[in-house]
Formats: sequence, C-alpha cells, structure tokens
Amino acid sequence: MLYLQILVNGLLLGGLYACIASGFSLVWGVLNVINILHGSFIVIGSYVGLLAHQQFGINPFLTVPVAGLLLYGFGYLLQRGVINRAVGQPVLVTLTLTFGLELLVNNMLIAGFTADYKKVVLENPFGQIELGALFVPVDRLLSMVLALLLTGILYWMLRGSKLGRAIVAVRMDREAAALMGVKVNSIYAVTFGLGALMAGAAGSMMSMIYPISPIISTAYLGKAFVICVMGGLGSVPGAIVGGLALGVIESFGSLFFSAELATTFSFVLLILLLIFRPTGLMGRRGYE
Amino acid sequence: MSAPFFRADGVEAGYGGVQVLWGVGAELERGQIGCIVGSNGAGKTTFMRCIAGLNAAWKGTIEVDGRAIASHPPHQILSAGVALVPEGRRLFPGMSVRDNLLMGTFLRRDGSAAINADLDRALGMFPVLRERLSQDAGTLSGGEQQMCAIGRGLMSRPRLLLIDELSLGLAPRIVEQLTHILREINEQGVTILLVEQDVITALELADIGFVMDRGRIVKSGPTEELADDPVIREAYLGIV
Ligand SMILES: Nc1ncnc2c1ncn2[C@@H]1O[C@H](COP(=O)(O)OP(=O)(O)O)[C@@H](O)[C@H]1O
Ligand SMILES: [Mg+2]
Repeated sequence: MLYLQILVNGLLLGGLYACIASGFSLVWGVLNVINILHGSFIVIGSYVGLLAHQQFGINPFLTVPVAGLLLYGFGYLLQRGVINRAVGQPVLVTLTLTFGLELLVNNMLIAGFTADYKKVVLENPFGQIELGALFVPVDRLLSMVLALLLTGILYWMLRGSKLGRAIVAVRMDREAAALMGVKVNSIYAVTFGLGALMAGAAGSMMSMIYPISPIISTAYLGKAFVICVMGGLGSVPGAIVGGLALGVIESFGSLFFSAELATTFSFVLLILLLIFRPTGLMGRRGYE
Repeated sequence: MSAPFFRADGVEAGYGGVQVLWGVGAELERGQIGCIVGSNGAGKTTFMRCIAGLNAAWKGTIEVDGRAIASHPPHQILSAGVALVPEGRRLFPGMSVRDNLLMGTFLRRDGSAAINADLDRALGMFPVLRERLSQDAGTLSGGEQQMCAIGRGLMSRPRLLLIDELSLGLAPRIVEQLTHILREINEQGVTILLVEQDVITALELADIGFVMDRGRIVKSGPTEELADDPVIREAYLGIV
C-alpha cells in the first residue's frame, strides 16, 4: 500500500513535470535551442502565483492564465528581439546566449525577490480524497489534471490547428515551410512564447507545491532536460510519458535514498537510459 | 509590346562570399512553359531559389506580371503568385499527404469551400494520392512524392509554377505521366518554369529553353530551334 501511495504521489507531481517539459521540448525541437531560461520562466510563474496570493489572496490556480500569458509575451519578445538573431547558429552559440540571458534574468529575480525560499500556504486547502489507505490531496490532483490538460491542448494545437501545422512544418524543414508562405521568424517567436507559457502556467501551480526561490531554476531546468531526453526530443507525448516517469522515479528515489538524492537518482537513470536506449523511451519521432 | 509575364535580368547571387550566378536573365510570356537545362553545379537551383526568395539576389531584377520580387521574402513572392516545387521535393515527413497538400494553402484566405474544391482538383490530377491521403508523406514512393510536391505547390493557386528537377530519379513511365499533367496544368493558365536534367524531356515539354553554364545563360530560344542546334545536340543529346 505504501508503494501505491508513493506511485500516486509521483504521478501527481509528474503531471506538472510533463507540462514543464513539453514547453522546453517544443522549443528545443522546433528552434534547436536549448533554453537555459526555462527554469527561470517557471520561477517567474511561481512568483506570479505567490504575489497574487500575498497581495490579493487569490488562489494560484486562478493565476495560471495570467502567468501563462505574461510569460508568453515575455518569451515572444525575447525571441523576436534577441534570440532570433542567433537561431540557426550551432547549438553552442544559442546555448551560450540563453545561458547569458538566464544569468541576467535570474539575478534580476534575486535582486527583486531575494534568494529566500517562500511558499504559498492556502488558508482554505481543498482537503483530500481518501481511498482506503490512499491519500490524494485535492489541490495536487487538480494541478495534475490542469497541467495535463494544458499539455493536451498544446498537443492538439500542434496537430490540429493551422498554427500548429506551421510550427511542425518549420520544425521539419524551415525552408520548405517558408516556401508555403510561413513566416519562419514569427513561428519561432510564437513557439518560444508557447514554451514560456507552459513554464509560467506550471510555475503558478508549482507555487503551492515547491518552495519558491530564483535559485531553484536550475533544478527545474535539470528536470525538463532529463524528461526531454527520456521522452524523446520535441515530442509532446514523450514529455507526458517522461514527466510522469520522472515524477514516479523521484518519488521512489526519495523513499529508497533520500529526498536530496532524488534528483541525482533520476540523472543516474538518465545516463543508464542513454546507454541502453539512446532514442528515448518513446523512440525517435518526427511529428509534434 | 507589353512586358513579358516573367522577367529576370542580370541576376547575381551566391553563398557567403562565393558567387554562383553571374548575371542570369530569362523571360517567359504568360502561359508558356520554360525549361532550364545545364550540367550539375551550373547554378540552376540557385536561380530557382532566387526567384522564390530563398536566396537573396545580390544584383539584378526579377519581375512577375510587372511586379518586382527580387530579394523579397518568400511569403511575399508566394502572394505574388509564384510557387516553387523545390529540388528534392522537401515534403514534410510525419505529416499526412493531406496535411502536406494543405500546407500549400497556408496563405490563402478564400475559405475552406474553395480550398476543398482545389484539393479535389489536385487529387483528380494525381489519383494515387487520394488513396494515400492519410498516409505519412515520408512513406510515399519517389513518383508519388513528386506528385504530392507539385500538388502542394498548386494548392497555393500560383500563376507561375517553378519546378526544380522534375524527373530526377523517377521511372520513365512516371515522367511521362508528369509531363502530361504539367501540360494540363499549363492549359489551365499556369505559366511554368522548370529545371530538367533530362534534355529530351525538357525540349519536348517546354516552349522556351535556357541553357545554363557556370552561372550564365549561354543559349536560349524556342525549343524546336534548340533541338536543332548542333552544339546542343552534341553536348546534351549525344547526337552529332
Ligand atoms: N548551400 C550552398 N552553400 C554553398 N555553395 C552552394 C550551396 N548550394 C549550391 N552551392 C554551389 O553553387 C553552385 C551551383 O549549385 P546549384 O545552384 O545547386 O547548381 P545546379 O542546380 O545547377 O546543379 C555549385 O558550385 C554548388 O557547389
Ligand atoms: Mg540543382
């Protein structure tokens, strides 16, 4: 029964991980940019949740759209204004660029909010569902459902909408996409914005679960990276599978080892995976 | 006399610091089929890419229906009615044949009824694609891919259709089918400019031929005349 509880805890967290990773994976897949800023985007989303809660007593679930749209705008402008100039350069160049931007943004966050850990503590928690000996906190369940819903919408948008098809086309062959009349630079900016939106939305919900501080951005980034490699690059279903898997792995990792070692544990598993199944859990995919 | 429908003049272009085109010119009247032939590396693809806006023209003019398009972004050139079927087809793998064809309509604003009618027309031209509509375009045979690529180009309703390497790697039976369909497309009012390495096919299909060599057009004229030209007969047809 304990194992079942651990499994459920892992899945609850894994839904949020999927949401985080899908945005990171999308940007990596379409722009071939490893966005080091992704962790800070999540942290900003968390501060949106925290501030709204502190100032106005608003539940962080309600700030999910606010954080999402705010980060979309930020991501879009950042891509339009700065990163588009480096797209198409070798990965090391874009990596260095987003790393530099990460230093900038993260230090601004530290200057603005300090590095102290904060947390949203709900005055009226939603309580929990009890199934026999199994406990499912309702706020966690809600975050998982909402996070997976957002990820599902992203997936649907990529497959079923005109904009989504343009994004996929740019990912496959940006010259051929340009020949179809797609404005590649706009698609890059929209894609980067969508990646940031997923981060911001997840961050807002994370504010109820994880301690909030600018310095945990690297932990988020590491998770997104691990999931992305596990699930396969640029694939939304891969991000879902990888996210849920990482949630469960971390959950069991902290049971068998310790909470501090959970992340290390997942990186070790990642290395093993890379050795034995280098294309990721879902295999290599062309689409999404 | 009115200006020709398509006109390129003195086009120079290249990659990085390496110049490939050294003043390329070509003209087509509305409704004509033109064909560029020339050996590998002559610059045919580079010229097509310049017309479609994938490469900037360093110098020179390119006009379609009196509108200057040189060095404009690809989406503007597509809006001006010029579609390129690129060398290597460049379909979107992982997308269905249907989605590939629909990508050609990306800029269209005339509604799904008109688009569906055109999709139906394209499938009427290439019936094999109808059976493969929901199949991954990456799994098509070479001939089917070329059909899908041409269909995708047509879905934008171009007035000038550019095709880079029509027959490369395709069986003679397929090539014959394609030339037949291109005539049909042409009869519906689409001006066509193609690059073709098979000179016999090229001269047979086109009204006007252009011979490109090392980044220059070294000979051009009606295809009947070119077919009788001793230099061309020797160099490209292997007939003396
Ligand atoms: N992307 C590129 N970068 C650098 N040089 C190129 C590129 N594409 C083509 N070239 C060079 O330009 C010249 C003309 O190539 P191309 O236009 O493809 O000729 P063709 O289509 O007639 O075979 C060749 O010498 C080729 O090496
Ligand atoms: Mg070529």
